[in-house]
Amino acid sequence: MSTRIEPNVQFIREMQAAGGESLKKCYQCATCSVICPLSPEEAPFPRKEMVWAQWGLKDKLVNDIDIWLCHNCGECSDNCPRGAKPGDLLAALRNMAYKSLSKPAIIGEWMSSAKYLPILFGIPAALFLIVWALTTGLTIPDGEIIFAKVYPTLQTIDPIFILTVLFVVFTFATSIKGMLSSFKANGLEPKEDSPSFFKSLIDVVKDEIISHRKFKDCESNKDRYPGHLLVFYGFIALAVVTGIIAFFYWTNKLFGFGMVTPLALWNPVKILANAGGIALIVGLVFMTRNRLNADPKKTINSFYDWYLIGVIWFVAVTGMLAQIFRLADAAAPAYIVYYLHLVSVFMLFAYLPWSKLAHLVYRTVALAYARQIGRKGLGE
Amino acid sequence: MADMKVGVYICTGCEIGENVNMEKVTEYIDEESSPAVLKQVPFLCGKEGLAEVQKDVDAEGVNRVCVAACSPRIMWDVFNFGEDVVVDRANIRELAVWSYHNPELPEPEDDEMSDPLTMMVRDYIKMSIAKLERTNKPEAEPMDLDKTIMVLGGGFTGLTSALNAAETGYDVVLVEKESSLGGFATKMYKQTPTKSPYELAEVPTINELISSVEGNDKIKILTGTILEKIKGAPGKFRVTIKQGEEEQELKIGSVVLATGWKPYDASKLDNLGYGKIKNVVTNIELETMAKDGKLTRPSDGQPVESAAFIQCAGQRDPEHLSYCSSVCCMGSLKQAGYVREQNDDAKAYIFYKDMRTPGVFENYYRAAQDDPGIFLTKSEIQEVSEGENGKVLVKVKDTLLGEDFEVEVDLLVLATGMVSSISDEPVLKLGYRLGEQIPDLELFDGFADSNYICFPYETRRTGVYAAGCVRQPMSMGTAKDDAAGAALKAIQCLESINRGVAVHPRSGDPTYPKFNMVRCTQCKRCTEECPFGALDDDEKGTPEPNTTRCRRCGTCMGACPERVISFDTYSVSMLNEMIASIQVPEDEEEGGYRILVLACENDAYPALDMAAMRKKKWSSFVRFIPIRCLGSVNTQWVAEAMSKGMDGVLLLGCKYGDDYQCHFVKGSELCNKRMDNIGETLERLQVEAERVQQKQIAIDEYDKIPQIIDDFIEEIEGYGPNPYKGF
Amino acid sequence: MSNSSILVIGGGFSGLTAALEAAEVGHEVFIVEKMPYLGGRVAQLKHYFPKLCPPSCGLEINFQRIKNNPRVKHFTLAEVVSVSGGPGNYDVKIKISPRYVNNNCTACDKCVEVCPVERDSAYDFDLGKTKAVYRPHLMSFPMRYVIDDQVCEGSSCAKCVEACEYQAIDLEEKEKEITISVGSIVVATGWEPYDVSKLTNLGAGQISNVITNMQMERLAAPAGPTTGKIQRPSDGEEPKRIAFVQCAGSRDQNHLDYCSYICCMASLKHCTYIREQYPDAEVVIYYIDLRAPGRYEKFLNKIQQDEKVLMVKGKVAKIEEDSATGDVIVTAEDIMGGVKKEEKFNMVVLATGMQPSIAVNELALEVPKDEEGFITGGEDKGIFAVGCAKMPLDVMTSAETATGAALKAIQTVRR
Repeated sequence: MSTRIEPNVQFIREMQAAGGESLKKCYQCATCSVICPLSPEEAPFPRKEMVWAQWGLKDKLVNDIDIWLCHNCGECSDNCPRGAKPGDLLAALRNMAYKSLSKPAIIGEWMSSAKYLPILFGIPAALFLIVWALTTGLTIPDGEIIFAKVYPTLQTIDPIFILTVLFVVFTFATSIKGMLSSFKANGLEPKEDSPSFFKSLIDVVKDEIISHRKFKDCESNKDRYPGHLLVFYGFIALAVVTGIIAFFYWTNKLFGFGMVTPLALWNPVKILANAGGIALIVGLVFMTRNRLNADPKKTINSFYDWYLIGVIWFVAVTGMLAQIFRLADAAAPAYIVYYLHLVSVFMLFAYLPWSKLAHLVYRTVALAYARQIGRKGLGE
Repeated sequence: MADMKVGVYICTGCEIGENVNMEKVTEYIDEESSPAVLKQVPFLCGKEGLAEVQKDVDAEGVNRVCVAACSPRIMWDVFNFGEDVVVDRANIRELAVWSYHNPELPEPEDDEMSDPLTMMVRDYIKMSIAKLERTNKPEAEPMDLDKTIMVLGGGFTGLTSALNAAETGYDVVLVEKESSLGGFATKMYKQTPTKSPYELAEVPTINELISSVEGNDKIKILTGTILEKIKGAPGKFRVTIKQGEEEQELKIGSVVLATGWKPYDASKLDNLGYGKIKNVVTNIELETMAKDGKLTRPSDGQPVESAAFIQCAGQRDPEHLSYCSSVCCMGSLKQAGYVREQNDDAKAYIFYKDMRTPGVFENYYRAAQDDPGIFLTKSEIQEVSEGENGKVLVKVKDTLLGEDFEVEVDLLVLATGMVSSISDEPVLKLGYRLGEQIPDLELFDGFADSNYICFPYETRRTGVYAAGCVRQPMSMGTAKDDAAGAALKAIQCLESINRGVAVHPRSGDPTYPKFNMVRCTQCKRCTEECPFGALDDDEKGTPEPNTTRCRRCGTCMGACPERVISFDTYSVSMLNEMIASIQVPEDEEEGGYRILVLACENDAYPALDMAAMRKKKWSSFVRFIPIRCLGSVNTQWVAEAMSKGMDGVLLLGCKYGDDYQCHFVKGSELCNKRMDNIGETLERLQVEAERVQQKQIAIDEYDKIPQIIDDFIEEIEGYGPNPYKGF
Repeated sequence: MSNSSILVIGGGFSGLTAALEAAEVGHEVFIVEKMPYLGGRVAQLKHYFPKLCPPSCGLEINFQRIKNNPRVKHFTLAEVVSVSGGPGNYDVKIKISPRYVNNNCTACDKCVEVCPVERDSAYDFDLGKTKAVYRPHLMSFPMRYVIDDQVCEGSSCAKCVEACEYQAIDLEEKEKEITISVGSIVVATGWEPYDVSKLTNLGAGQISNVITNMQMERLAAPAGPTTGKIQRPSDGEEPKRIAFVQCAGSRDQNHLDYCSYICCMASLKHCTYIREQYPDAEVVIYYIDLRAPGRYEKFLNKIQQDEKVLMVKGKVAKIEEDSATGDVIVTAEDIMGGVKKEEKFNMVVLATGMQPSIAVNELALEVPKDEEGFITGGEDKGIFAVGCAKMPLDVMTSAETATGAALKAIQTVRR
């Protein structure tokens, strides 16, 4: 009994809308599978994804681990003789996976198109405006500029963001479970002698993520390596800073010792924070330039790409400006920009599982799983 | 010819002078042939050399010039001394001096002998003189000519061809058996692109074409007309046609065959559901459905929401059509568009073996596939069966999707192929002795195609030129050029007849076979062997020549046992005299063996030239005579050579078989058959049959020539000298 | 009153056909050819597909047709410089580059014996060498030698001048310009093999044992640089495993965005060359679609019968050299098998495509072209493109278009 196939045309249109616009142009030469430095020997990608996409085979594509093995270097699209842009299709499939894996799906829907941007912005904008109304009645506090005057950490920032983090973590936990079981459903099971998932995960972080090794394998788009690396380490730095600040906030609160914000500029933590911020911005400049210079014949930029870059810019710029205004003692701009900064940070983190940034979780998990089951690129 | 005056001019340049004993040559030629003039010239093709000859032509009245120098393929344009002077080239550079390999014979005691190279040069010059003495100035046959071109078939190709001929200034009769013009093109909803950028299907242009043809007063349109008979020959065909009950005779000059194609009989495709499942149709049927605006399921008239196309249905398949019809991939892409355009949710699947959209048609593939509702995969069809509610199930394997699967569709379309319209009916109805049809169509799967890559319009019936899908499966864009091409050939044929010259491959040749019927024994060999069916015969079997059907290969001359047939510049007796001019040493140990090599002038002879240019050497015992075609080899030449005491005869000609390279189609093959008869005769005379052999050689096999010749000599040496030597 | 003569630009197979077909109807024809010989690309081929007959056979007939037809005039080493006027009355300026060898040349080869300078033979795609004075090729028409002035040392050497008994060499010959009047123009400028140095992922022409399909023709040709022996360029070894890379540059928007029509059939034909010499050699053809249209299908069938010829659906997108052995590592996905594999071959043939010549060397004639350089119009001006100047075609179809265009040109001049 053969499988009955019923192409899902709606799904094809979705993929096209999510960035895989040219997928129908593919004539199945497999240049992409060969040229991809990460594509494995058995059932290599993305040639098979292209034909599945052309045939609207949703089931196969949503469970496909290979879309996560792709690091979106664009080598396949550059060499595609037909302009079918397989790299864009895989990016589109990931975008769609963020939408379908992470629940509630409605946020995914909002994330899929620029027309929902007002909602995405509106939620944190309203939330933090309400908070501001509750604390200082939407007025600019007098005296030394301390953002906690408007947004006290204990009462507002922490609960909001701790809830957000819990929400995100919960979302990821359920979606990762779904993702792993979909891989298994596709027949990808660890063998008896396979390493444990946890070991694979550690190896992936050590081997690939820290070094960004796979970005370096890419011939066609060498500029992506520094951009992604800088943004990546910028975020790490800022995360560390946030951790330290939070840690000392609580030690201070509970045990009466620690650092109090705002920190002095020479404070090593502050230096790290600013270094992270600068790395982030420089990385962003790389990334943005890359996107803007992309040859439309080779790749097109989807809303997902611009949303993420936009939000990170938003975070970085508001963060930096808030600090500058604070130091310049310009109270009104400082508080307003800080408010926007909170909005941007919320937009970055609360929607993370549905945004392109979710790849940091999904790709890491998929890479770890791929390593566990021994799926690796030819020659790796 | 009383006023024949032969001048012999021996070039001494290009190593000839320093290697040949010129004194012995001139002495011998003077004695044997006594030409009016005999000169050695150091650089014959130079200005002064030519002036020397011209001087003798002007002052001495020399009118037969033997140029003993390089190959006639070199310096072909310089030895021209006026219309009344016949020139022959004795190729003593390539065939003697350059390829000479000293056999190390003892110094001859016989006075008449000389060193082998000098003897060779003498022979070539003497042969050339013999040839010149038997060459007549060719006179073209006078001819009444009908210049009307008949185009058979009023489809796209026929219409285009007719219009082209008319626009060049020729009267055209367009014969169509249907009651209206346009053929299959009028049944098309859209046509695949014919213009740059070749991306979109086009609205058919057939109606404009029909109007142009109808509006052209040089074209006489005969629809509803059946061709009954084509008698006569190019330039004077008498064509009988029948309209209803009425018969008419037309005077026609040449014919364009554009009767097109017919669809492959889909009833043989029951394995794909045709005839068994209602909603299985052919691509032809789908085209009509689309044209009529009724793209619905035949079973219930419901709209088609999904359709599958099976490419190569009954094609690329030894059980059906073994070939590919060239256009079906394009056609199915187009028709998938029909399905899609009537319903944006409709789905069209195309199951192909290879997507064949060659050349610029790749543009169409690229554009057509970029539709979310068209699904393509390479695949093999496993099974077609009937599903529920009139649906058709198509099971496929070996797909690009990595698995075998099935789809369920409203309509299954079989992309069936093209069959030539003349493959099984004698559409041409030639009133020729050798049959109504163009022969050997099976070599071309029933298509009226040429076997020559270089010369696509060559058929075996002169004055009949095929175009369009009767010649090859082809697209309309290709057919458009093809129609013009065939029209040109039909025009060219008329103009050649008008000038009294032959058409391809001896185009421009004014000579033609002349028949001396007094000696004819009505053996019919000439009639039957002519590869072009040029000869008819009367009740007694006396051949009736049709010069304008003839291609001048001389196959008839070769076939005739009675020397009935000859050309002004080529005859059995001429070659006999040339062969007789070869000096055969009585003692082979002193003078070596003598082998006659008759070489096809189109392929073998150039190969000999090129071998010599590549500094290849071979036995000096051979004497080459270029001939028009091995088909013209008369067994009397072999008999002459053997009776003169020559030790063997080698025939070098083109490859034969299905991929024949003979420019006259059958020449080398017929010659080979005649060799069998010669072998029997020789054996009866107690002479080894193997002394006469035919070798197939292509023009680029020059490096094999020394081996072929030396092997043959070695074989002959094994038999020893011709027992009849010296008689 | 129209001028009844016809200009044919390009003396390759299409040009010869157009010229001869028109001349045999009765028109005067001028052929302008930029190479020193007529015959063009087909003069470099060993065999035609599917018949496996030598192109020189048809060329010989066509040269005989020229010899027998005073209406055909030809210029070699000639290029059209400018065209003025309109349909029915064109004035065409033609530049004739010096050959340095005049009509006295008897093709005796004495000059070559003394010439001290060697050059890469472009005719052999640099696989062989000739002297600075050379015979264009064995079937050259006209059969006259020529001097490559890029490498010839000129009057300071002049050894050839001395060696030539017939004063055939004139090292001082200058470029000439002539003007002819014609009524219509046939453009038969043909094609150039695509520049492999642009195929960076396929070795970019830098790997010695990766050759092009046209180089394969010369390797296998009896008068080629190896007298017909197919061997590896790097070391002259007999190849035991050979890969064919189809669509090398064709069907590719980064290179030639169309199918070059002939490459599938050409590679299948090359299988016969290999099989003739090496009964045990293994061949793999990597393809996207096997395009053997029409009755060519039967030729494909014939090659498919050969058990040692494997056809793999999947384009080769990576070629690397194994520097130790000179072997070539080819990566492709065997799509039907779903496996991506690196395979080692002794030699690889790139089935490179055809690019219209005028996309590489501009044509001094205003005529509409598409982005790729194929001519798309001109009929209204009495200009007719034929053969591969119009679209990628094989020889037979080129001859068809040339014959059709000959009629169109005649119609123009008879108006």
